[in-house]
Amino acid sequence: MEWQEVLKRLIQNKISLLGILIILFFVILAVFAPFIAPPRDADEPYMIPRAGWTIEPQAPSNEHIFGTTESQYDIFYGIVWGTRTAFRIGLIVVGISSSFGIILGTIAAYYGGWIDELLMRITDIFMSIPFIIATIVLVTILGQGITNVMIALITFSWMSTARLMRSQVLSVKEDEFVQAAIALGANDFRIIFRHIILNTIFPVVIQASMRMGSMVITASTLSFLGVGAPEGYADWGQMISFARNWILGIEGDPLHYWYTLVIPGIAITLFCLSWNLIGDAFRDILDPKLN
Amino acid sequence: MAENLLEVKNLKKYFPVKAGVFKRTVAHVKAVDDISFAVKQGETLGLVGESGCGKSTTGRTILRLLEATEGEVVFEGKNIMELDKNEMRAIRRDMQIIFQDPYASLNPRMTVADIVGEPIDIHKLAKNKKERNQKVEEILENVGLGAEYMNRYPHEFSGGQRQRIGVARALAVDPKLIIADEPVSALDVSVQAQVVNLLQDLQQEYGLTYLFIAHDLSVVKHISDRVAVMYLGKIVELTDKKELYDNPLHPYTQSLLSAIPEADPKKKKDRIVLEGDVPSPVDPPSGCRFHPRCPKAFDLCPVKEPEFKEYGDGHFAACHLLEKE
Amino acid sequence: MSKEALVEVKNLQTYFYTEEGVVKAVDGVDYEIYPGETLGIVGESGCGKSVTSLSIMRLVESPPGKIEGGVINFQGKDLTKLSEKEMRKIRGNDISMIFQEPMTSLNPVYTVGDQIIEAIMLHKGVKRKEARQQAIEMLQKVGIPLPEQRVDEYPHQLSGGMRQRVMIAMALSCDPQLLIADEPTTALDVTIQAQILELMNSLKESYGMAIMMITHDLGVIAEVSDRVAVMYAGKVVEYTDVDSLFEDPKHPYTWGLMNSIPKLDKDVERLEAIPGSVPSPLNFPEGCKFNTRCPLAEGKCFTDEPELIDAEAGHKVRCWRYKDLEDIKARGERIYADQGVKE
Repeated sequence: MEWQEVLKRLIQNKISLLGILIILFFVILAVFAPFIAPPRDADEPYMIPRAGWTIEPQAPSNEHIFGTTESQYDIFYGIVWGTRTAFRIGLIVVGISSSFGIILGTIAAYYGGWIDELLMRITDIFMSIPFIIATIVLVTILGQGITNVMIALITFSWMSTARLMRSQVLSVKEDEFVQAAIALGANDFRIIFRHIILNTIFPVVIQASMRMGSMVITASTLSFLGVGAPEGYADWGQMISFARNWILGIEGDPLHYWYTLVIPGIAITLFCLSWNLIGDAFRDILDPKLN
Repeated sequence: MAENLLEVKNLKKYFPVKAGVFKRTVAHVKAVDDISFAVKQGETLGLVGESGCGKSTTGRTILRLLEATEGEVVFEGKNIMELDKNEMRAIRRDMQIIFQDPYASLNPRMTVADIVGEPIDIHKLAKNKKERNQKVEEILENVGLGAEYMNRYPHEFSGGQRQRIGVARALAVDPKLIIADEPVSALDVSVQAQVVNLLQDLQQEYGLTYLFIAHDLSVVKHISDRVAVMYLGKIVELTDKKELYDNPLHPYTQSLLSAIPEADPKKKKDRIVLEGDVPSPVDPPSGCRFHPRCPKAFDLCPVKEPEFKEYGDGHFAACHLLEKE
Repeated sequence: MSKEALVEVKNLQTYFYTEEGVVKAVDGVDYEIYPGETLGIVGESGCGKSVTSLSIMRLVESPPGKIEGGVINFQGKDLTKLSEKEMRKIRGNDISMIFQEPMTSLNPVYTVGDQIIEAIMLHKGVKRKEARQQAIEMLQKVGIPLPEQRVDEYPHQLSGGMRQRVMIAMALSCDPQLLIADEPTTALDVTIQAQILELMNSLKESYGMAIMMITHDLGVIAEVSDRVAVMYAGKVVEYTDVDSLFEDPKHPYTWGLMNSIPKLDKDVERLEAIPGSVPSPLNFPEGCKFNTRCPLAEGKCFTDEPELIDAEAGHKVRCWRYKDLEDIKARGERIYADQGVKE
């Protein structure tokens, strides 16, 4: 199946079309952020402007259409610019860690022997460390900040791709068209890139799509736990952590501060959902061929 | 007499059987166990045998798609087992392979032009893309496929057409030797003949030498000049095809010939039906490997391995019965 | 033949409804199987030979498959009309089937004995001990050495030829009147194939059952069949007894098949290859379905589909030009003239 065919089917499939539409919406939000929510300070657009210094959140109003959260950070601004943060974290973390996993898994499977043994034991060691705890520890050591969060996530999330890629390559490596390429005198580089990776990449793409959502959630978790983005940074996870003290509402009205939690919550949920929808649809489309 | 293009001397290929936590080698599958033969310039040598006899392994070991355990493969006077990686890559231009499965042997994500053009790219046989595509077109024409197929993908073709693409790929480097590993056995009967005819035509046109590996004796007989019969990693008989069919010496060859069902209901053959199955190559029988199934085995057979000797002009066989006579 | 047919298939149509369109895998097939005879069904992949047998067993997967029309008479009953429950009584009891790949038809987690014993208990209603005894006898009859030991082994412990023998033992354990064998020797080596064919021939005699032998191999057909139906693109194109088929093939397709396989005892310079390949069932041509590959095709062949008619007594053929083929054969010419390398 060719790329065009896969794309065509992705669009024909209602579920993945929904996913694509949601992602398109977020892309527009991210690209046009400076126009949708003009920054107060053009040098630091990711810092959410504050509408005062009181602690208590303010309900949506004409001036702040989504209201303000703890310490008067504007929720609308945070959501819009937080989209950029989410894309940045997702694309960079998944992109780098998947590439690393692909290279490692391919080398291990293609060359086999002690190289395979060594690389896979290293992978095992990384896999045996609990993911969340490991990232928290690493961010704490490196210091707070989005870049360090991404480094920590990359460090501890490449293993599943490496394993998946290794098993894929192991099966394709024995295929006759690879043997044919060897018999033609092709060098390792050509065999790996033109023959093996092209025929093993789809499952990794599916996995990467699924991981987009989960990486953004983990980054949010870190922010929620207070080791992620610095205070005031446009990040959905942090906005939820601002809502922490206000979840219970006031006496007699538990939903009094609903907007502090629900609005950033919806943003994260929709973002992850859309990637998962696409990943699922991908798998359905490609499954008959994988089996 | 034509010169030998390829000489295989005492070739062995053992696959280790590993077991346990430390993956110790506990035994060996003796897939190819000390075989020698030569292929003459311009001829077709058939290599025939049942599944597991080592015929495909032989083909792949000759091309070093598998590394031999022992032995020499001399191609145009050079022992290619001693070549380094780069020298080996260069010599692959001269020796090509056609695979059995026309579905698995073509990269599903490459167009026909790229599949057939790949060897040209690898060995830099064209100055630019235009020249390359021109060459690809010519080769496709030669195997009976039109240029309109250039930009299609393998899944758009039938089995027979795919096999033609596989043949075109092998031809693209203008090789001297082609090892055809069961090239027609995955095809429909009516299409098999097309490919067999194609291979014969190409042999004449390009002066090719074939090592034709197959399990189907009638096809091998049709296309080959000489035939080698393998059983459990050994060549048991080797002679020209007429002699093999008129005067088979080895009891295995005799029973193999008689086992083939012929498309003629009138001919009720005197069939030698062999008992039992082919034994495992992990622990092959002692002495002559065929003795447990051989209808003519006698006391010497389980004890001593028969020598591969010449009985009459160019007719080789390995059997104690012949030595006795 | 004056005997009454055991199975009578009339105008059978089995279609598959796929995303790409309707696949008419079997499209108007007629044949009879008489008690005690072997009917060979020969054809290439996609000709519908396996689907006809699955239709008799009512094992066509539905959806996408469906028997759309026709009659399958067996012992006065129309099998296409029976309920699933009634059909289950016939399967394995009156009609048994063996397949190309015995490993996939045997359950890997049970011993071969268990599987035969279960079949015997189910269909004959005997006790386990009795059934085990019968199972061992069956294994002995199909030529398995040391049946008392083999009965407790698992399928993976047996070789391919042994597994096929087990399948045959299982199929015969309930004395079926019809055994359907779908490419039973295709996955086996020639020397093992010879064993299995010989076994089937001898069992046919001792059991007096009928066999429907489905294969692509004309050699196997010649070896075991009494009568033969040649199938192409979902239709029977030639139908006669085995001797006249091989002596005097009347359909250009049959003729081509016979001349495209090399013979051991005859040397030819070049094989007669049928050009092209089998058309896709989604895209069958108008008129005679063989017209895309037939060197004799002309005029009528491209517009009207020929009927299966009696060319001679008991020799049916589906071709407009079979008489012309006779003339060509009489002149000793080849009809698949050299096409060069062209496809």
